[in-house]
Amino acid sequence: MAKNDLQGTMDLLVLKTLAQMRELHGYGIVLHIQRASAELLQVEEGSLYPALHRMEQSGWISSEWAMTETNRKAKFYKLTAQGRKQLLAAEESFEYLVKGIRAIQSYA
Amino acid sequence: MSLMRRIQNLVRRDAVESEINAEILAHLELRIEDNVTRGMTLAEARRDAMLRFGNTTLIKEGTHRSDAALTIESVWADARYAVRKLRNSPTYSITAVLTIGLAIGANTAVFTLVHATLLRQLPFDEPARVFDLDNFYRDGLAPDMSSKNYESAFNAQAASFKTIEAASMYSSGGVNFSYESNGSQRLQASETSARFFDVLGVKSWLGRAFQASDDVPGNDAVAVISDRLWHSTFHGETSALGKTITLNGQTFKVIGVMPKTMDFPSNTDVWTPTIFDENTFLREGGAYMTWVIVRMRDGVTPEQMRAEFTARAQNRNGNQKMAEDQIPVLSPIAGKLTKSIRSSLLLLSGAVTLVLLIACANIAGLTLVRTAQRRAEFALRAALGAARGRLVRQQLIESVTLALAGAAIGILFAKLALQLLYVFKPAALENFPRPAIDTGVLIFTGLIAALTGLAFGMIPAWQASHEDPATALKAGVWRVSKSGARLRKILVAGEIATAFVLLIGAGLMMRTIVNLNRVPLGYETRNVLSFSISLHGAPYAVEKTTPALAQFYTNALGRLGQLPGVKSAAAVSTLPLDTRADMEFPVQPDGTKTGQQTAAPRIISSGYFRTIGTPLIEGRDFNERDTKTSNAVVIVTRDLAEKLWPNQNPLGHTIHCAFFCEQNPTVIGVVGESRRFGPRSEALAQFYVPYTQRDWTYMTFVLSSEERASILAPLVRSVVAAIDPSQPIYDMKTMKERLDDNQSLVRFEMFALGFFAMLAGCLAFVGLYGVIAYTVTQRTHEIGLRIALGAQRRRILLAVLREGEVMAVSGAAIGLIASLVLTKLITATLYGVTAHDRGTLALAVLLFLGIAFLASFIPARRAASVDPMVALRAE
Repeated sequence: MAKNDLQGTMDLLVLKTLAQMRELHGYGIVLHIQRASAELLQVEEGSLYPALHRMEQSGWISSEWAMTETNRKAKFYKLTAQGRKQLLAAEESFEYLVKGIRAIQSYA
Repeated sequence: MSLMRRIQNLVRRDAVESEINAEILAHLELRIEDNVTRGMTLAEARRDAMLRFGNTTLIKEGTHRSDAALTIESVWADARYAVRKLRNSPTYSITAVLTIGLAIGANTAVFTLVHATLLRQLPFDEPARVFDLDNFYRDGLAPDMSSKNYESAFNAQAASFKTIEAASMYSSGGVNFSYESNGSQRLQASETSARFFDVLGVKSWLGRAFQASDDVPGNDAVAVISDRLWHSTFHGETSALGKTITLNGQTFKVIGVMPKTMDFPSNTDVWTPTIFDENTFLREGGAYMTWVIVRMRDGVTPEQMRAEFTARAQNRNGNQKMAEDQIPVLSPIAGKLTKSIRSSLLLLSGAVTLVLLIACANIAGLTLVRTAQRRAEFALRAALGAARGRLVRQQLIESVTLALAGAAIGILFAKLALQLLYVFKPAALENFPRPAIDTGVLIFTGLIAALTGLAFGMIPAWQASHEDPATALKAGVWRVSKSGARLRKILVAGEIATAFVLLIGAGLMMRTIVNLNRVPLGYETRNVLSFSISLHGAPYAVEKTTPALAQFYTNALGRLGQLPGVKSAAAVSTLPLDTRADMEFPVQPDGTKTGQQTAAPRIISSGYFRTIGTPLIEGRDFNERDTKTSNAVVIVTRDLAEKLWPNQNPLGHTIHCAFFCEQNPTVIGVVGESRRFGPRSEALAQFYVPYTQRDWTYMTFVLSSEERASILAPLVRSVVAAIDPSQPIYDMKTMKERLDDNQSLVRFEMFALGFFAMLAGCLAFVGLYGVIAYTVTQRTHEIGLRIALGAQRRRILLAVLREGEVMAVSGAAIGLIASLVLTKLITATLYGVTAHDRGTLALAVLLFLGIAFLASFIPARRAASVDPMVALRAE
């Protein structure tokens, strides 16, 4: 169960990032999450790419090769319409998770 | 990812791999760039990037795994790995592959045979509605030859039955066939009534089949030919229709060709609608069998049909109680065709299933051991990070690879087995098309093998994937568990019991054959060649008083007798062991009506008894002085003489019978009895008249030779052809071949049981050896300890041997009980032995104890020669 939750959380972060930033490569996603969470969240880079490819398989994001600002070739990811739907669903289930944990914690 | 990309990924593994590489490289480069901007040196920047990222290889693999939907590429890698692992343990692989191959091969062969015979799709329309009618004289659907127009009588009778829509009579026999100047050959022909093909539900391939008017005498000089004859004589051309062929000297017009699959009655090449026609008489000789077939009406049940026929018969019988052989019997045509071969094939199927069970037991045992050995390896790989799914898949691929390899060997073995079975085939199998291993069978076998591989691979795979690596890696856990070991022993005992049953069956069959060979037949079967001829055509017409028939025989006998290597030549109208029908006549002694006996008539040449090896007990043989103008003479068999004139000298008495003995011939000789139908039959009472006094159109020649009789065959053909090339000779066989055919069923069953008993024995041997050897290996440590502590090596040897004997004895005991029950199934085929024959049983028990001893001996020796130092050091 723990594994799944973490995976779900990673999905949520990536999808949210892409929703906010429109188009980013893998490294960019790592930096954004780091920055936007005020250094609270550090993405385990090793599990990022398998997750990205998995989400692409599921049709939530799409990819294409393009040039970065520094003229390097990198693979950029973008959210798809299905991905947007998935983001809403992920956010909702995350809310439930948080509510549930809070409820247990405040149970005397 | 788009569908196209996914499909592309399936195939272009390299492209996908390099793309992932590029992506990860880009990531690292970007971070390195940032680090350098922040002030690190290039080296530091690179180190930091790599550290943060993690194990690139693992990540690449993980990413790659997420990509492809179906990792075909990795399936191939797994297959290669499986092959490598199998090559590393050759004993296991070879044993498993051979065992699977043996089981699949034997079963495929038998199944193909059964499919071609018992399960054959008959080439008829709705074959379930076609029935064979027996005892048909009782219900009126009979060939009443006394009426003038009996074809209309028959057809009218048939129409009067409510439960059938058509009926037909038919008869089958050999004919001399010729077409234009192509020379003549002997074929099988069927005389039928007009509705024959309607009853069967067969349409012609070319031209037409018979119509209602065809069986009226005068209209019936038409013929339908088989596909085989159409191709061999007419080269498959449509111009065959309308051509004239000659059968037994009479002409017929070809009106149709049957499809290739039409083979009823078996091996028939020509059908003519002449069964009611007195003038044509394609049937040779006095004895011929006619059969009646009917087509049940649509919507009627077999019970209703049987009820109507029985009621009719009861009516004609004057409402008296009918004996069993007076009640008409309707049997489905499929059953009638397979009746002769059914029990043998069922026996074969049973035997091969037993072999399959033994093979499965062996494979189960092998799998148990293999699983135990691989547990440690799986645990290690799981601990190192291999995905469970991958391990399971890899195990399944290994077992499927093994199964497919076994299947490949199995197909080769099946081809061989089929050929062997056909060498010893029962004669009845000639009525069926020869089975072949076609693509359907191959695909089916491949699927079964793959499924078997999956099934057997599942157990260790499932176990491995649920194992906790920690416990599995503990020392000693690679051994088979206690319950596993016991299971193996029980399996082996079961194998021995099964093999035992097969061996008993084979042994009983062998003794039967030995007993049959000892039966005195009353005639010689060694070095005697025989062939038959039927004389047809104008010069040989029996109505004429020309001596053409007798001259032909005299001529032929003279020339045949002069062939090099021929001791004597003779002729007889019906040879012993001839498979055609025989006739028996009532014979009266000395013109009185009392003391009448039945006997079979034979027309022979002088010297026949000498040639065939039947002893002349009293009086003399025929000679050239017995002619049409001299006194009518006859020779009788001793059993007939004793029945007609008990305790008297038969010489000088006369007999009377219809047709053959109308001139009350005098008995001039007595010969020994002969079992005309083979060793299982009783002697048949026969009487012999010379061909010089009775014209006869067909004869079987016999030649006794010094050496092997079969070498005379080509010489014989040229001799006869020189006399009259238009008369084909047929059925050229040695007497030994005829005897083999006569006993072909029991020979076949003996071969089958013997072959499978041998297979079963080998498999049981392997199984037993495997179990004992494994036990010894497992307990090497313990044995080393014992020896080090002073145990005698001899005691250890005996202990291992005893373990094997225990399995063998319990297996043999179970097998003994099982065989007492199962051998009752073959009682009908046995001769001179009972199913409980003590000698055979005792021999089998001893044999198995011996085999078990052998199987245990090698591992026992190994156990006794364990070096304690080595054993204790190892684990």
